[in-house]
Amino acid sequence: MNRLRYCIACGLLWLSLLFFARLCVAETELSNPQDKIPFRMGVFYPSVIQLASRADILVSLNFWTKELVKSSGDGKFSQLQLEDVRLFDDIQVMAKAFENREIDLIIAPPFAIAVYFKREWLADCFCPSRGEHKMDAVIAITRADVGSIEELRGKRLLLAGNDELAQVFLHTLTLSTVHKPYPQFFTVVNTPMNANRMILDVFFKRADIAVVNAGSFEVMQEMNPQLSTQLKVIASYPLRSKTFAFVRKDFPLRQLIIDNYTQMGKTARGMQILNVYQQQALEACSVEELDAFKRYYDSYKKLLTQQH
Amino acid sequence: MHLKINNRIFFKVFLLFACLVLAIILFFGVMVIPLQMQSLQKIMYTQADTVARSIVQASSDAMIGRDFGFIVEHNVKVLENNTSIRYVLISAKHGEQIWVDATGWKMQAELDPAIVKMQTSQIQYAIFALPDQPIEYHFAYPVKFAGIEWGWLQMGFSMNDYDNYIHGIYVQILVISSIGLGLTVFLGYFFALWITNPIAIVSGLATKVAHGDFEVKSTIRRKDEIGLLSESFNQMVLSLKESKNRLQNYNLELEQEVKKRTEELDALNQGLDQKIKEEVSQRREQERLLIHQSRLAAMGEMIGAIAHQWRQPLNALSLVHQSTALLYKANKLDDELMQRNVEKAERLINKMSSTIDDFRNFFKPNKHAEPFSVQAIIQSIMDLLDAVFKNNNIVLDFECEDVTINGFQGEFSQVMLNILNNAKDALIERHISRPKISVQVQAQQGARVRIRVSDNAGGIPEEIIDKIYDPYFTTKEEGKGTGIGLYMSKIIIERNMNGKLRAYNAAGGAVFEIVIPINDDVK
Repeated sequence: MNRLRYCIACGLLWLSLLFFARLCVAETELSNPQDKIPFRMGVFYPSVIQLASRADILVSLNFWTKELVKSSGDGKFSQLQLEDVRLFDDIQVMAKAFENREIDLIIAPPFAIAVYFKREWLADCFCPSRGEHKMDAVIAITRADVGSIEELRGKRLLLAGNDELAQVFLHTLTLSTVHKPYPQFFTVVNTPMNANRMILDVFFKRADIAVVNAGSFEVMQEMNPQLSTQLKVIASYPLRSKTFAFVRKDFPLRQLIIDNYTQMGKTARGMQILNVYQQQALEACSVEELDAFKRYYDSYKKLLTQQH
Repeated sequence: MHLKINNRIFFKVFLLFACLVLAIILFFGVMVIPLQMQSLQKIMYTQADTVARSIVQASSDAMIGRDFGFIVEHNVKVLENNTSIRYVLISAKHGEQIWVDATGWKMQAELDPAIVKMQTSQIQYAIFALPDQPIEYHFAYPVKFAGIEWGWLQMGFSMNDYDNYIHGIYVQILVISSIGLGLTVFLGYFFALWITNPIAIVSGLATKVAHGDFEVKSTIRRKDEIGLLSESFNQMVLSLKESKNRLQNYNLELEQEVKKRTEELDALNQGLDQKIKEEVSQRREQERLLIHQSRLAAMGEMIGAIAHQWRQPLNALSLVHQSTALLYKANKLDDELMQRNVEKAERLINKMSSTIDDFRNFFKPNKHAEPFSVQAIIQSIMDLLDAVFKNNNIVLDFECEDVTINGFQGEFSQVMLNILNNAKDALIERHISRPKISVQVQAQQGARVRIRVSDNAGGIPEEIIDKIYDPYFTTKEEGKGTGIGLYMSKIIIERNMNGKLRAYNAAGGAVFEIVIPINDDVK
């Protein structure tokens, strides 16, 4: 279970939301359907792909949703009715659906949200927390004997193909250091492998550099302290959380949802769920936090233009 | 009630039954454990083999391609999904050794020798504990691809399930044993009662019969050995009853007979007492007569000796008398001669008188023990017998220490006279050419005196040597011996003087040896 700590933590957000949606459905079953507010969730599946299969995610979400509905039990969500949970493989399709009001709550990487979603549709919401003042990051790891990025010329790169932030991060890294796009600098190995596997491949010398999340690397270090001595982080880009959740700005019960999830750690049942996913808490997040990602993307574009 | 009386047999049967049932239960219980252990180990082997094959099959491409990342990831998942597996060790031959357990994974530089020992070309398994680890089931699976040895997949399985199952078996056996014990107690009680109750009844009846109640009767009616016993018991009681009646009649008759015989015996006893008294009295009278006879015999002997003793002085006195008469007729008897003859005659008469005194002293009865000199007594006897000995040319050899003893002087003299006379008679009777009698008196350590009288008359025949002390036993010619001398001597020495008298043959003749305590009181 340790191995899944970080993945589960990331998935906890949308799991919890799905549970909430299920709770809303349960509440609406007892209420008059004409009074219900439909609630539709959209999840960018590649961001939680490490967690489980689609079916497994839905089943577990329903289960935990029911549990939390029972634990809350104060009727606050009685007006909500969870109508749909959609898993998207394409962020642009997901953004289009959000614009078309097909979904009310989105769960996706903040970089993708910042780039593809219109800011005026978003309002403050919540994100998973790894603990007080503990940040996540996108990191580039190599073996400890590598001195600089220049030494990795022509070496094997492992990069998750669906992680746009990782690609931008690496691009920025190579353009700013060796003045070359990373596909021209490395022997690129795009792979759908999860972060853990990529770290293992670097450790076992099947690859020379990999771009992963710091949380995944920490989990792997806990599982094998030898990684701390044999691998090192050669570059990083900090971020608060791998996934963010935002509710449509004009959704009627937006504040109620935020309040409920940020108070999750204060109830016994909520703590139990957070502990299962080894997550400390859910925190409120603002739309402004996306600005940093937007700026980072813009600087990347600028750098790319300069390179061209 | 019968149960209490015969509870021992009841409890024996009960215990036997209980022990038997428990032994059977425990036997099967104990037999089950090793079988279950074997089965469990087989199951563990099968499970381990299946898991190992599964891992190898899933990781075969990774193993061939040395994709250890996949191997680690896969085995981490295996461990997550199977908590009974404690560790997985993937050892590539001449390559990486990856240890995966519940806490993580690591590259293993050195392996435990026990682990290494299991890395053979065959599947190995063993139960042991690695350092600082609990006991585990270790399984080593050699990984081969197309006959080429790639390495080993080793796994450690938790023994918790195994232990729990074995513990469960123990508990089950305990429960079954407890139930068995309960059933044994319950059924055993009735079983033992069924077996022992008839015996207890018969035993109780037998006890009554033993106490004399022959009116009892067993009412047990069964068609088995117990029923037969009951029937036989009733017949036995009937027989006993009849026997008892007969016995009582016999007793009555016997008592009457005994009474009659007792009366006769009493009468006979009374006569017998009288007869014994008479016999004792008669015996005493005989002994008294014997003593008297022996004394008279001794006196006769002494008188004979005196006669010999007196013959010489009488002849001398006759010569003095004739000489005096002749001197007087020849008118030569002057005062001097007369005086000389008178003195001579007085000396002879005194000597004869002395002999009489000795004789008188010799037979003077002693009423009390008194000290006397052994030498003096023997010397006086020898003086009395001197004439007889000389007349028969018997040489008398007398060696004597001067010893004084306490006793009856006359009786001791009688003994010595008997022994010396017997020696003299034997020498004369056997016509010994150089007859000799030796008398030796020796003090022994100041406590006893030993008197030994020996002769050279040829000794006592062996066939009669045990009879010489019998009364009236004599080898002398009729009229010469009474047969009571040695008998009386034995009584005097051993009964009156607490000594010992024994006779034996030595070279040339018989030896009579007397040993008397010097200071012992005489009866």
